Amino acid sequence: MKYVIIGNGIAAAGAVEGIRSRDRNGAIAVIDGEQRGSYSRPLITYYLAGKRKAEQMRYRSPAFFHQHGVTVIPDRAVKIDNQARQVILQSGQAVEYDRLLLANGASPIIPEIPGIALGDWVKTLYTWQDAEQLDLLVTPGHKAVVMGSGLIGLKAAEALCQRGMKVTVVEKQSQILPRLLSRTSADLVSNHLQDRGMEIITGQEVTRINEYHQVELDNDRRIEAQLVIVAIGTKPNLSLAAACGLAVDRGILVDSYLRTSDTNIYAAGDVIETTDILTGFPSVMALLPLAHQEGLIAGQNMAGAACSYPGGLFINSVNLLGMNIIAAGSPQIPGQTWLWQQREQYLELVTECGRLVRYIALNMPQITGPLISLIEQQLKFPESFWQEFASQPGLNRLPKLYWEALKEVQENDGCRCGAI
Amino acid sequence: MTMKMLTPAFAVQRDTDRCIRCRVCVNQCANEVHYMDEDGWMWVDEDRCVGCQRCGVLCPTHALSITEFPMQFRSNRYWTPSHIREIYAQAQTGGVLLTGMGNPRLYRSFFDHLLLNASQVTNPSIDPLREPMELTTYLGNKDMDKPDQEKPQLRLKVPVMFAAMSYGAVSLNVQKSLAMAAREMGTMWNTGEGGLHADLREYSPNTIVQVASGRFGVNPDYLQAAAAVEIKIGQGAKPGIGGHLPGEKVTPDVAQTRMIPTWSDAISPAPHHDIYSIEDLAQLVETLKVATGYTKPIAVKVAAVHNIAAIASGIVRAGADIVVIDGFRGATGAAPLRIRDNTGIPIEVALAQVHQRLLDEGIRQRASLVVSGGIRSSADVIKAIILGADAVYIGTAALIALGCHMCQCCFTGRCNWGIATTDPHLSKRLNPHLGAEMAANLLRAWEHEIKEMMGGMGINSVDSLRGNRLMLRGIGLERHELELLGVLAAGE
Amino acid sequence: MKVVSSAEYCLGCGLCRIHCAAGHDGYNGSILKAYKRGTPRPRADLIVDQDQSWLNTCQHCPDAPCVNGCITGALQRDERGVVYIEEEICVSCYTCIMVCPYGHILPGEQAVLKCDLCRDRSGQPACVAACPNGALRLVNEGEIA
Repeated sequence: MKYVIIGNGIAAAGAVEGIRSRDRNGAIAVIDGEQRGSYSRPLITYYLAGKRKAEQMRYRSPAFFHQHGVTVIPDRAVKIDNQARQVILQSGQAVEYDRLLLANGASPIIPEIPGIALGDWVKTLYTWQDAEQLDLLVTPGHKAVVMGSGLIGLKAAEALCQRGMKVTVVEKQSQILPRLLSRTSADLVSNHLQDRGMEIITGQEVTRINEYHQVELDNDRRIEAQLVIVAIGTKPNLSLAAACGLAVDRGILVDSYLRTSDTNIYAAGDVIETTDILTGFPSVMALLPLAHQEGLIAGQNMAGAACSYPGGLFINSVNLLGMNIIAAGSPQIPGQTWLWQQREQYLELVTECGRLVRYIALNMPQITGPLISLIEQQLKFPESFWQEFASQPGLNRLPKLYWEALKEVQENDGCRCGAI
Repeated sequence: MTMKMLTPAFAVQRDTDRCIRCRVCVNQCANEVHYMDEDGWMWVDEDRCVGCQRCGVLCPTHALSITEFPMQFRSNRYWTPSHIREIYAQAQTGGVLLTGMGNPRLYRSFFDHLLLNASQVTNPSIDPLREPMELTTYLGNKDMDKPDQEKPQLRLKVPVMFAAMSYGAVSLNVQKSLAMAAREMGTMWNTGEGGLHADLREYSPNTIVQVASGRFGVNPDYLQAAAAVEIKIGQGAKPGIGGHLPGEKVTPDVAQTRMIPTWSDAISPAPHHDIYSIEDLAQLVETLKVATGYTKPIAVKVAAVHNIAAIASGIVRAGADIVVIDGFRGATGAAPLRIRDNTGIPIEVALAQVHQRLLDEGIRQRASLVVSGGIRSSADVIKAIILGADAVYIGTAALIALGCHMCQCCFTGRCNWGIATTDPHLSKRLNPHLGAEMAANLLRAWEHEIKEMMGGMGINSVDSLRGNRLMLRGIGLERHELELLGVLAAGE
Repeated sequence: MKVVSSAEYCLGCGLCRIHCAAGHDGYNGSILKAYKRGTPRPRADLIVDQDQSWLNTCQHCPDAPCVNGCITGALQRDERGVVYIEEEICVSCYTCIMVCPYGHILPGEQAVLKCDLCRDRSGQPACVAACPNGALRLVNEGEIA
């Protein structure tokens, strides 16, 4: 059996693990388009901040690929011939497959505004190479503008701040992290960042970048910028898939076994459209834990298993200038809100009919894992419980039945999926 | 508001160089002696300390030590500090002074004045690691004239049993520990007068149940669920008075097992109100034999008091298969201090006199003799057997094996070691699996030591030891004491 | 392989955490050194819920979500099935804390903290040996998870 994986990121590594858990002999080839080896994409902002050196960027080591008998081909895939079952590379080499995994990720969205292609001082930050190039442009004391206040944008802004630049973040929506946080929590985070020297502008859009190193907003304000980072979002790389006729929408469409419309081709990671298990709606959720999980399952299925993937939960953990932000669930879900705040700690819970559907935790990471479990299992509690819990959140305040079920798991050497 | 005369009994010293302020002492002291204030400083309220050493044992850096509070009276051999402090306490409360565990006073310990023989040239020593040594003991009537069906026997692999300690006086975890250890080591444990808890039914083959004056928990199932039944007339710690379980210790579980109401004092009357003569006792013994179909030995337990020899003779003639005598060092969960410290006689002389009297009357074979009350080591066990006992019961020694630190505050129900308490939070502190291991280890160790001492005497069977008083010599004893014990003086 | 904590026998005394901290970070078992001159970092928390308590320690799940979600690959499973953290690689992003359903991972500045079954020492895990009441046991010893 010949397995080929396009992409060498998180989903690819998971897929290697998944395949090898069932098939120790089949040949595995990984097409590494970026040609940088397996590295962790979230680490590029740490690289930019000077917190990580080149030798500390890896996700899986060369030993990993060697031990699993994987051939890594540093080349870019340009075409999939799913009739002949071959992947054609940029060099012209054709790689045959019995099973193919598309894990070629996403790319940053470039807005069509004048000046966007002005020069190397207007950049996206998505690849390690981007980080290296940006690194050369960072000058303490100079001004930078970051377009977009999503996770990439704010992590980039944090990195530049930590290296001494004066940073302004411009966000089109009326709050930062619009896909992640509620209004209240977003304001708390925003205040925290502004207290530490970051300028944050919300409700404004960049309309133009001019050659005098100025960024123009839609209210005609101009901001000086020696450096501009474009971080307004990413979209899946669909051209390879579309070109060979696979069904695509917001991302590559897959069934519950992560198979595309071609039964020999699977897809996983930031490139796919999957289901948000909380809302039930299709969604592209570019999150690292999901990517690894999807890769693992796709790999197992490629090697003959039939593990189903129900979709993912929108979860995120990020640290910004000393504040830890963890959130699960999305703003679209309505429900009853419960708030708790004490000094720098903040917890917002959203319940619907007694079930937890969303939470935002600032500087209180330990409660977040069990809360995700409560969301996933959709455990129902009376309103009085949520009221009591929200008045003094803590691990020991979780319902007794939660811990009793955990003890059962403990005794039976259980795993997470059989947890509660 | 009167002045509190009583200064603390104990001083708690904290070495601040070693204290890491982990607060293990705070959360482990049931008397709330240790506490940490809002600024993180550790403090001690010494008035509350009972000297149980829980904090000292658990402190991870050995930062704590417990000593007698250094408040000295002028030296007075007659008016000792204890006497003075006890009067202060009574002047304050107007009440009877209560205490726990056994008589701590400096009366003569005859065990400590008896020496064992050892072989030298003739009758050579036996090596217990190379030769089989027989410690198996059968308790019951050995009269040749009685048919076998009427002589049920208790078989012990080692002549040491766990003494009667009732559920309520001690925690259920103590009883579980002793029951498991008894099963493991092939000996018996005794339920005491608190009934038999349902969780302990499975240990029936190793259980002796008690029928005491309060008749707590006594019903047909109770009698059937035992290897032997013991009628308790009295105990060494408080001869002449009944038992007293303070209301604070009567939890719903205790109440259910004893078949009494919750949270009220459980008083056992002093006499059995249906036993006023030896004939009445014989009647009860016979009743129990009939009720158990003559399949279980019936024991009678008395405290060692004056005229104990005559009493024991009467008990044997009343039909008891086992006579249990509890000396004045016997322990209790709660008793008036004066009675515990001033009533009863030492087990060594009681035993010697009873054994001799039964021999003289030609009825020694009709019942086994079991003694208790201050058996502290395997040496005490061997001496007791030589003086005539078939087996011994250990109470205090067993509890010490489980962690007891002899602070004598059992009656408060706040035992920090989870032993003399029914508070579920405190009872947790004795894990019965660990307790069983410790109690079984104690018996294992003593068993080995007994074999070593026997081997040293050239004796390989406990039967050859029993009543073999020539194996003992007294040292530092008066002539009349030697005569009472039936032993010669060292040198003779 | 994991340490199981029994709420039936746990006294909430905390000696497990003290010995855990002393058994890591180069303190070599010296509690005084860890607590008087060092920065003790116990690898698990005690959960106290009224009358019950237990040590909430990592269960080294066979399909550990923390290993799945770790962005740097610092969280790994060794040949005995022990899930451990390679501290120099961890960036304290707290993704692992977020995905552990039981709160077994603790936040930390240089790296997150969690039970590693004392894999750098021989003998029983420090907590198991230190528990005065037999509330902690090492189970499935030798079994690859």
